[in-house]
Amino acid sequence: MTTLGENRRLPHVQIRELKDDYCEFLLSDTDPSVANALRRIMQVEVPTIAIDLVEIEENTTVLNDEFIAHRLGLVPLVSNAVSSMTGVFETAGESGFMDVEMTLNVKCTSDETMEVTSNDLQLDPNHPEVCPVGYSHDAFDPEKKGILLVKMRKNQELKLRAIARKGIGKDHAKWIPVATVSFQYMPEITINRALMDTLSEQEREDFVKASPTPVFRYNNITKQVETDHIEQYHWDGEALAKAEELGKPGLVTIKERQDMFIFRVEGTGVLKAEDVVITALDVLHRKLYTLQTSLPEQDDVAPLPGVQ
Amino acid sequence: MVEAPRSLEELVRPHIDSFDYFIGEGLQNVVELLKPVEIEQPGTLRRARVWFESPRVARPLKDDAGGAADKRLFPRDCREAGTTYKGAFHLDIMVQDAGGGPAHRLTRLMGHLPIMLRSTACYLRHLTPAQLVARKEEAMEVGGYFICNGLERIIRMLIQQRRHYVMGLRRSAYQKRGPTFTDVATLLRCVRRDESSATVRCHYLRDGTASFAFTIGRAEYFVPVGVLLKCFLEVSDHEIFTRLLALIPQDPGGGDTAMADRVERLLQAAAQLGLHTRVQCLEYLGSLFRGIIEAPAHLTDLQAGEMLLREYVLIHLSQPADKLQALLSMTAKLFAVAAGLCTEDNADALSSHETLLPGSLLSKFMADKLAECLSIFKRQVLQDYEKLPEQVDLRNPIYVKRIADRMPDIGKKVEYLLNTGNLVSNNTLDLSQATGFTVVAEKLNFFRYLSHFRAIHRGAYFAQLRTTTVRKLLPESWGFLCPVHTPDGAPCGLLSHLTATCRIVAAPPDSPEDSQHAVAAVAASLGMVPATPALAPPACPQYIGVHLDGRPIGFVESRSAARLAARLRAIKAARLASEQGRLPANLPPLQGPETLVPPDLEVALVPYERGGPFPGLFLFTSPARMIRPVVQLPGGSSELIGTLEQVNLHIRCPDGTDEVAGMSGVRYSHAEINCAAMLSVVASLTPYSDFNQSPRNMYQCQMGKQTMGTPSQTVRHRTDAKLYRLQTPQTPIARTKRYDEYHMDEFPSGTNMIVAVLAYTGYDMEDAMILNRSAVDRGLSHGTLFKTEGLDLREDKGKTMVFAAEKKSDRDRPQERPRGAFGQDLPHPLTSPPASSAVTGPLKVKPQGVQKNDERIDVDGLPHVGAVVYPSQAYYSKVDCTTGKAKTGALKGEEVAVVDQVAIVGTAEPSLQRANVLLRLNRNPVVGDKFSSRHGQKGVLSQLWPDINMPFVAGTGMRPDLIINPHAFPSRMTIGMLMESLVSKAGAVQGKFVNGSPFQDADGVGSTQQLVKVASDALEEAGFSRLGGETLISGVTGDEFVADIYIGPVYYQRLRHMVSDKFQVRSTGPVNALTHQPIKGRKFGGGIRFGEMERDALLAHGAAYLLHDRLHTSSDYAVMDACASCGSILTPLLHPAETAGVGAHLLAMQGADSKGQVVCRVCKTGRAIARVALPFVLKYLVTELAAMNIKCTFTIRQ
Repeated sequence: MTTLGENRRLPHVQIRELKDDYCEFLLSDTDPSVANALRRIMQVEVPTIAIDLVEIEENTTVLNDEFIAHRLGLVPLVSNAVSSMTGVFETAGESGFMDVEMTLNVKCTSDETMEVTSNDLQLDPNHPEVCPVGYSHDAFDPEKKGILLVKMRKNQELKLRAIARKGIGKDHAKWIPVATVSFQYMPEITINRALMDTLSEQEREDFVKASPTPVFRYNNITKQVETDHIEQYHWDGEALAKAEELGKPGLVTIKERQDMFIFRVEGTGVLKAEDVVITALDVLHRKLYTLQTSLPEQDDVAPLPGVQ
Repeated sequence: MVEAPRSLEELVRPHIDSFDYFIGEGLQNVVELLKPVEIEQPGTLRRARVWFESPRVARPLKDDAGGAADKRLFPRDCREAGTTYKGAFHLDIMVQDAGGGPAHRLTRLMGHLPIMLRSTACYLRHLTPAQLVARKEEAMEVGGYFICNGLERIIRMLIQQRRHYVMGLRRSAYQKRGPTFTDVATLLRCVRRDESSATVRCHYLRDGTASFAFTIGRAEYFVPVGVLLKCFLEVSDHEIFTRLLALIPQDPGGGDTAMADRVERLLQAAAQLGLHTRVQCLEYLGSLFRGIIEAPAHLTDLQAGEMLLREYVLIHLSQPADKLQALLSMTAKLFAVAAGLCTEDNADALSSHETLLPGSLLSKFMADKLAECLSIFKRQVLQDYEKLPEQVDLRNPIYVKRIADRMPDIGKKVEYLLNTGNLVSNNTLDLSQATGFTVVAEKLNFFRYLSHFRAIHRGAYFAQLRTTTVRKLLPESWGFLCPVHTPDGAPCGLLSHLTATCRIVAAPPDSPEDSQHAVAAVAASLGMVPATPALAPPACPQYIGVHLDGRPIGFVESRSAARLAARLRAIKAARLASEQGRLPANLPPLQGPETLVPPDLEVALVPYERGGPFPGLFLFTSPARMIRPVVQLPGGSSELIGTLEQVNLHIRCPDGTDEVAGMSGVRYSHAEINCAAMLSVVASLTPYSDFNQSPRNMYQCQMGKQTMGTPSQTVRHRTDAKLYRLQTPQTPIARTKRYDEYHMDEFPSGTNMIVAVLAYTGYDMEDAMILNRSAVDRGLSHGTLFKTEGLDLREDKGKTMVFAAEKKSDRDRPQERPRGAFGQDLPHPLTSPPASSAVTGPLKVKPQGVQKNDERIDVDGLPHVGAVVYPSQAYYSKVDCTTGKAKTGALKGEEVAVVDQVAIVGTAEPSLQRANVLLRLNRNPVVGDKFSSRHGQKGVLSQLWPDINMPFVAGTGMRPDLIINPHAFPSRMTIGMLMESLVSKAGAVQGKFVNGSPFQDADGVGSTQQLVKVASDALEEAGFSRLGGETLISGVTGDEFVADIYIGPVYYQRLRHMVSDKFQVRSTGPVNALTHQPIKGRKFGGGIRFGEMERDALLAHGAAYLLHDRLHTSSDYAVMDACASCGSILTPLLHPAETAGVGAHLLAMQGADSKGQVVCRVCKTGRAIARVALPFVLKYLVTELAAMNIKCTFTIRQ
């Protein structure tokens, strides 16, 4: 398998799992810099919507104004409408809207402790699609309780206006669209067959057991050691140590492949994991385009192929 | 609401019990033991006797309540109003004719005594948590402190010498007492029921005799022991001789004639003075001392001598026979120590110490002050007898009341003592210091608050001592004082903390005499030979003395002493069990006097050993002793042991062997309850402290007390000048048992951070640490500083002020934009004008433009709750009633504040005069703030990296919250932190809290191997590496790290040292008017001194330009005129053009401009004037010298 050459510019993506809040894919035929760039962009440059300005009219709760404002900011808002919004630092005059205004007006009148949650937020009538994740008015479903903002006792009151805006994670963590996004190098394990043949069957089985993760498998039929779940390899070095112990250094060689990465994107509900990836690629593309157009034109540089 | 656990109340018990005893029985004792004064009418023999009776302390009441139904004064009222929580103190003044007849009683208010919270005189005593909360108190309020002028102050516990135990000492200072004095002395601290005490000494003299020293007032007096011995009873010299010899521990049959010689010579001292009988001796002493002890004239010398013995010699005993016995044992020990028959005692060991409790201090003080009151009363009456004898009528209550009004306000004096910690008295009160008795119980966080109650100080005297011997940790303090919890630096070893299990006997038994009789009776029934004045004691060491609270009560055969002690212990343990409401089967049933033996009786058996400590069985029932529970070994019942007692016990440690180490065949008589018994509360909260290098645990004890956490649950009702609070605290995953025991979760003080041990960018070198900025964005370690600003309009002297807003015309005046630290505009203007209507429209947030006060100040002159105040903006306004002019108060400091609460103090009638404004300052982490783990690993925040730049775990994508450098570990050896990380990680994946108590191996809870194995298994099961390491990928380059990185959750504390309080920078700013040099002081915008040593450094580098810049250009650079012809810099003066006068045409020729011309006053010409740049301070120097007739000339060349 070639790691360098023309293929470098033609990465491949193989999707392994795709759910609303989780996406796992294999990025191959590229190098770590591209993988890392993609990760960084997914994390902090995919725009989302979050509450940014809070005007407090009445607050007699136990939490102070800044604290409540901060908590509101961290409430994840469904951000599918973000593409039609304009950020504060973006050029004015673009067609999108800038503010989504939510209000919160609750007062505890009962003797019991009242929980104010994200479900108590009243949405902007112009943009009802921008709402807290899991927003629901089903008071009886404990699954849909909403995100707790503050607890109240009798006669406490909270009245405020909150303005949600478009933003990116670079400015504040509340705009980060994912819980985690990470990639992992695909290990490459080669078994030295010649050396392996010198081991007894018992030794082979011991060797397989030495690894804490099921990286190797002992094939009962062929009596051979085979690689199994390679990507679960922990870089623990146990197998290598076992090989040393058996007096067979070089029994296996383990390398990390520099051209294949397992990506895992875990969403927060703000955006679909899939959308995060696609937007990130889009942002990356735009960045490269900007770079390309601002570089002085040189004839011998071929134009960048489109990144899919 | 969580009730304060018993264990927590137990921690402040010594304070509260001691105060309870003081305001009840203690005061009664003080008054009873106070010597009545006798006032003799001149010319007649009629004498009147005056004394006090029935002291009473009332609960605090409001004095300005008016007609209000509830006059009760609650602690919270005092805190908010900055007043003292105090209750009325009444006494009855009794006047009686000395010849007999009826006593007249006059009740008088002697002032108001500060009341300790949760004492019997406090309203909070029996309140439930819900009731406490309703009173705006902490639900877990435990009390133990006073509120003085709004501050919470406590009386600090001090270590002092153990009472009623004869100590034999060798001190070179004793030789300075006189020419024949040696360095050997025995010493006895005698304490009476009212806690007044006197230390007496027996000095060994070079001629083999002894001298008895006692203190009257502040002076020391010496009496030959031979004379004193004959004063108590009518006993023959031979009797004293045999008794004394019998008390000295000598080997049987040794027949040391030298010792007999000494005793003989001692007794000859009296004979040499011609004193043979008791009466002669007493009369001799009486005649010598009657002036000093102010004996009344009508007393004979004999009576004066008796008075001397009663009031100054061995005052803890009342019977002369007991005093004689006590003096004999003092002398016997003196001779034994001098002859080397027994060792001297260690005055620095805890076994010879006890505590000075708040109640004792107040008792002593009160006794002194009440005696002063009586003497003032007497002086006044005597004065009246001289001036207006016809008015004096001590039977007339009106006259008595008039005289009594001259007595000082006792309450004020006690208040002064509590406010300042200074003890004002004419005599020393047998205390080693006069200041520093009280401290403020700061509520910085709960750790610090609690430690105030457990702290015990060795005494201010020892702080100045050059030697470090007193600071050493001695084995005697095992189990009583925490070896870990002492500060480093100046008070190291002097300020210790009691262990969590250590208690203090705060009060004597309910009826001390009955208990003492019971103990003596029990001892007698168990084989003690009672001491009788008639009988010569059996010889030591076959028999050893039995002493009960400093009174020799008998003798016990050496062989059976241990059995007697064991039996007493059994009784003691049974009493403790029955007091706790349980009766284990293995303890004997108690009968007769046994039921009166106090459970905290100290049974210190010092067996005879040649050359060992002075033998005896010392029993103590007295208060102020430190005691702690241990387990009796056969049986397993609990017993309270004291410090002197412990020294001679064999107590098995949890990891000990079956037999006493180094003594084969000897079994342990006791065992420790568990390993935590040796630790203080704060020290026992460090998880896995047994894995750390010991100084690290000491550092943690310090830093735990500086942590920003949850100081109180009633922040709104508190008026502390500064209060730090962590916004998002967490409970630690790895916690010790004590953490739960003391309900520390009510006051959490840190955050579980994911810590990666890794050298990442160089920004983690030298104890710097990198924090994840995105985590901080999400609320990690967010903190708040609360400041209370007390507004008091009464401070404007001579004016009548009211809180009110400024008048309209004033308010229309546009305010200047507030300025920040570097002169920048506040609030920060947005970089681009907001396009959104939300900002400029209905929200009315004006980022640019004028700020008016009425955005913050209400019509009542006080700020709105929630108002944002920028530095130097007004936040309240007051109006002068006479002139109608308004004055505003501006916010001090450089930080933006938010008004959190506005509390009105006192009544609004006739007009509101006082208010407390609680301001809230945001203190979120910034570069330069200090953090620490619980293992003495502190560090300074050096970078806030965003999430993307942090390394991430390849498998899970987890980014650390914090990165510390691996170099923090090898030299410091804080393995506990690594343990915490691993075990917490396992706890986190399993969703369980982990027991992090130290010494789990010894306590049998689990072994280290097991602990690690359980954690590793859990990690493995969850798909992590067994060892806690994980593969990390650089967030910047995307490259995998070669090594696995140790990563896991560690509980981190944010310390209160923050850059916002400390940074000091200056470009330009205020200068000193005299020298024009920059002023010093952070508060005033001054600079940091560039001093001599810094100058030397620059000189050494040859950095001349830089030096010139620092010392001249950036300092007092001044351009001035100098006259080159006379060389003066003082004489050139500016002549304005129009007033040039005489030489105008001359000047015009010299080219004077419109502003005028600089002319030298001496040379009368401006021709030689040169402009030079000099330090301004030089001009000042030259001027000063000129004033002293010294002329300075400068040579000026082009």
